[in-house]
Amino acid sequence: MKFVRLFLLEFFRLLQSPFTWLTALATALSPLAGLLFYQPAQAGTMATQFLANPALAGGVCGGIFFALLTLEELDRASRSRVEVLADAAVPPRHLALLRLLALIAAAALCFGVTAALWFPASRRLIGSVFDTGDYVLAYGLFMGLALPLSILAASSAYQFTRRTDLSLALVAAFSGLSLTVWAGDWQLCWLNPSVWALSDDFSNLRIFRSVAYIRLTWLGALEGVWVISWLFVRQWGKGPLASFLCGIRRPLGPLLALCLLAGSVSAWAAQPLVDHSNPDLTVMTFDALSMLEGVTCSRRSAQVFPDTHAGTVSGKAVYQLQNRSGSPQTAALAVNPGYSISSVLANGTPVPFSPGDYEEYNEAMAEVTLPADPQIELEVEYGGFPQESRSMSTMQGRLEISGQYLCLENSALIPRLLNVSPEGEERYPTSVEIILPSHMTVIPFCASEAAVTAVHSDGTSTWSYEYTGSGGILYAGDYLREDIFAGGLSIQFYYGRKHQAVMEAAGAAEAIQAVVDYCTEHYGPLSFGADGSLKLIQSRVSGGGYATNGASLLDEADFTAANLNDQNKGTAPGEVMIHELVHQWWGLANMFAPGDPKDPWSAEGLTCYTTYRIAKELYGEDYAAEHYVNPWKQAVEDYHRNFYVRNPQYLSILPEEERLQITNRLAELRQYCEMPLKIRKAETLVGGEAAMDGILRGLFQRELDWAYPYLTYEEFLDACGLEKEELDFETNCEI
Amino acid sequence: MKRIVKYECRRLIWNRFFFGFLGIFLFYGWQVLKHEVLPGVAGTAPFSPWSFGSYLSRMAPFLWAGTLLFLTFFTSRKARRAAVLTDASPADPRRYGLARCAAVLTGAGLLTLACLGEAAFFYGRYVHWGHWETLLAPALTVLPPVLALALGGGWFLGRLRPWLVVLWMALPFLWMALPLPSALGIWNGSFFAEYPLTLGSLDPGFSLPGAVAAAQGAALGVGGIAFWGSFWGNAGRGG
Amino acid sequence: MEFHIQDVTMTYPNGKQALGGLSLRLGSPSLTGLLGPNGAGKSTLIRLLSAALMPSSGVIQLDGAPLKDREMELKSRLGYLPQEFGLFDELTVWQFLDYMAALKGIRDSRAAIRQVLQDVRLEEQAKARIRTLSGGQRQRVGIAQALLGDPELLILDEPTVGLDPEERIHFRNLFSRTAQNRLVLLSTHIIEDVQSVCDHLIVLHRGTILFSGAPERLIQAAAGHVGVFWEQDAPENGEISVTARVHTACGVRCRGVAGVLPSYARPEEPTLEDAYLYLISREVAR
Repeated sequence: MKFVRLFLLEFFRLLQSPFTWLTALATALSPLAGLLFYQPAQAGTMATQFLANPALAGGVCGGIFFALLTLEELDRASRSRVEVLADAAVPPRHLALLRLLALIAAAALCFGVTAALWFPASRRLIGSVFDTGDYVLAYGLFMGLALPLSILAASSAYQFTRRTDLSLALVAAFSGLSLTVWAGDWQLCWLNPSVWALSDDFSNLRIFRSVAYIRLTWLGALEGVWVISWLFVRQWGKGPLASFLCGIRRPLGPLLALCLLAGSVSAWAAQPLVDHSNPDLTVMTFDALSMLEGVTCSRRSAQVFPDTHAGTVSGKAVYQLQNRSGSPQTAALAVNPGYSISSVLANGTPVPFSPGDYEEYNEAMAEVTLPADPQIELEVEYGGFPQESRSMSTMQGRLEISGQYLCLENSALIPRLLNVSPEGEERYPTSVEIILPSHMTVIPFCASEAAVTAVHSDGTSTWSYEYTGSGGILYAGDYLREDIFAGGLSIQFYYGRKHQAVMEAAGAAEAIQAVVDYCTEHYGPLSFGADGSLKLIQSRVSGGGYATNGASLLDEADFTAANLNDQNKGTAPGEVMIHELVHQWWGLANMFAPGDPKDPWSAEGLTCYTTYRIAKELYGEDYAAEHYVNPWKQAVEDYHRNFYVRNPQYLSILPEEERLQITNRLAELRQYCEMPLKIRKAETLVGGEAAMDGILRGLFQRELDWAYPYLTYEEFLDACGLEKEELDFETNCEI
Repeated sequence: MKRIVKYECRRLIWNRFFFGFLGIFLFYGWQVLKHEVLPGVAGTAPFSPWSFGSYLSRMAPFLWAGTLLFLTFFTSRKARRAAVLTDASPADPRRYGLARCAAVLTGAGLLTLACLGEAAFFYGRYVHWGHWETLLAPALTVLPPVLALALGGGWFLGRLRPWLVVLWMALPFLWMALPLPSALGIWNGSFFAEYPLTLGSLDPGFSLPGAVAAAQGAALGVGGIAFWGSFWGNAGRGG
Repeated sequence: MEFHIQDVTMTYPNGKQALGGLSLRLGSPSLTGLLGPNGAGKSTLIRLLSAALMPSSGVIQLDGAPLKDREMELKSRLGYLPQEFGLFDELTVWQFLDYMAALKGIRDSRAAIRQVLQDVRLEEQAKARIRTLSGGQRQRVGIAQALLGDPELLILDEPTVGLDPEERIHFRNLFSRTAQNRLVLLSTHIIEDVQSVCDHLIVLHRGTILFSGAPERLIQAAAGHVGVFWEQDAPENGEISVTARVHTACGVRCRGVAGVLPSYARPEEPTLEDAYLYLISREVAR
């Protein structure tokens, strides 16, 4: 009771300080920085621009302000020599705890007022896609939790050092690192969590979970550090060490610190959100596994049960295998690294299996011992919280699983056979059953259609569909469908119900029609897909998209109200959508060898070039030059300028981690920037755009050699009548 | 005054603050070297004057803050209580102030040396390189104006109001966040990332455009004038 | 060394007048005690004499020349202990005194430091860091730095605060010895200190001098105005100001001062404290 009374006393004393009010005022205004100049989240969605960025700015600025307030308050006692009087009335450690709690309470009060003040502004700025739940979570996690973290950090620094100057330096360095050099590591960003996008049309639970996890991990760590620093609080006139030795005589403090630190270190090491895939993106050991002799797969099926509340998935996959080798074999399965396999039965009998700890390209490999039986029905039960790829750890949110939206990609949907060949010509015929809330529409990312096979009394429905392929991607959500006919294709355009008004107002369907017509006219009609049909699926904001036979993914960021109403772009949608649609022509209808991922010749080169051409036609030459050609030239110049490109001997002496960081960035640059620029150079050399269109049309419609159906760079050069050297750039890439 | 310099250095350097700050400073520097300098700035080598200059620009706010934190040894409330004794001494206030300034410069010099030494160790370890003479120009371009402006401005402001030193300390952290004109590019590091790209050659030698040189010169000059102004009149004592 | 203070007033920027029209002559050798209630202007006078302040009006002359022209000369001859001061906690006692010796331009600092350490009985703490010293020891370091270099003028503001009785006696004697050939100005609340060693006394009240002269003169002035009486004999709101009360077996025995002693009070030989209290009470009554 006395403690509560003292806490209230300290709290109200704090509220009487003008510095507290100054801090609160500055914190309340800090979301403004997110609207004006501090914009760490890059995506173009309304929620990113008008919710994520202000909340993140509020967290960073508010955190720094409250850290300063903490140091000012803690120093004030000793500065004004009240400490000696206060310590005589209340033990110094009690007082330290009271001050911390009072500061946190003031921060909570300030945060509550700030969040309430900014609510109407955010609602007005975001418009029809505003979501109150997202607002509360974004402000709570991005801003609210930053304040106690900063207070704990500053308070710990002061309790250790008892010097304001040193504490200021510590807080500045700790914050500075989080904001600059640590910004690329999502786990190290204690002040400014790695948030690159918030979705307007779908839920954001995954990114909120990620931020909450990191916030709680740091909260545990800083609480632990604070408790240790608390043991260093000087008392009985002793120095820091002697006070600490006195403090640890009562085991509660050290034990609490130990538990908190152990908890946060474990949480750090065992974080369930991002995998531990090999950072070397050139290594593809799973693809290089040799196929089992005499073992084939004729069919597989899966029952998938997503838990839309917990964000987890459980499932049962059944594989029909033929073992003609007459001996037991070890089959390799790729599963999402967040999943565990709970049981494996072969023809109803449990068989040994071992989960592997090596991960690559967002997959972990498990090995299963197959019996010598000629026909094997292999039943694998799996489940867990799907993890996202390490290479995209600062762009989390892709594998969203909620009652509004779901995305399960490849081995997150169903374990993939790595070393078992398909039986016959058809590649792994697969049937999938999935149970989801009835309001969600299931959209397989392939030519197949999903259908409801059962409606359950608990408000869920079973959907099923079939497709062929070793992987498989599935989207589900509260979608609307619009049918478009363009370029001889029947296009099913799926978009979020929340976005209906914006889509209709902006004529998104007409814009899609324009892009498909362009590609068909210039390169020829798509000759594959399910009976000339194509699905276009608006995905949750993902920073890009991908395409497969009969389906393309369109990022929601291309369809934001701001983007669609951009007068500079007319009514056509954004370039990512164009890019992914073009992949139907380059990359799918015409394949590129899946060899070295660092090979500059890939589907991206022609796709980027075509996207540029469409953008040029739709938005004008100046726009295309500004957004495509000039950045490519800049990037290529940067590439050729790069010290390590010119001096690879230095690259080889770097430690592996640093080397990979550099080489991965350079490879991407060559595919996305150098190659399209080379194609543009070829365009000039062959006589202009019309001539290049003719060449590309010829390549698109060429006779395929099914032994090696890939479009090679040599074929492209031959079609252009050019030599490789003619397209090479030296340092100057003016063309 | 040698003894005063000696004792002031002892006060400023031989304490937990200095070693603690040095630890934080070196840790921050190592992170900058590893994540920003090693990939090379503006396509140049990590040990180019440009990459090194970028590193120094990143470290400059901490060097600035460190120098001013040394200054707070003379402006703090505690120091002002001791000043009633030193003020009563017959020592020439200007000479006394200069002696204290020499101690601050020694501290700042040690931090600078630590910053340079860390880079030396880093270059030696990661890229096996050690031609230091090429890095002298960026070091002289970045460091003296920073130290002069920090110390001169801090000394001058500290005389007016001790708390102004704290505000002055926060200045570089503010300008790192704000868009600055290109002439002030050295102060937020953008100069080293952007200017070499405009020179039209690979691995260009270190050079300064007039505006940037003038800005650095102005910073040096303003720092010098502020410093001189602090000692002009009868107020050099106490920082 | 001689100070000549002529019609000095001191008004602070906030408008508070600390000294008003003060005139005074101080010359060595002398140990001058400065007495007065809180806010009388003692510290202001001390700061004026140590050239830490310049008067708002009036002139302070040192050896015939205005003090502001002789500031450096004054400081080279001054040992100063203010009432409130700070020390460099990071340094040892020896280092701090060496630092102050350097500021004072003392050439043979080792001998000088050794001497003052001996004077203030801090030889054993010479190598101790100042932050580890007790309040009394810090005070002694303050006195030591004032004594450094054998200054001709020693200004000590409450020098015995925080010292135990034995130390007080020691320092009282030290100041007395020191004053044999120089000017020592001692500001204190402890009248006992003044009574035993000072040859000259200045009593300040509300920024003006109430008394300046030998302590004996002050005592003489109070003769016949100090008396003792039994508390039970005195009426309530009597005309006598009680300066001491002692419980005895016969009742409470009081000591007091008054302009005219009442009949129930028996006259007593005044002490310096009685005289000081009489002077102040008379001034307050006026």
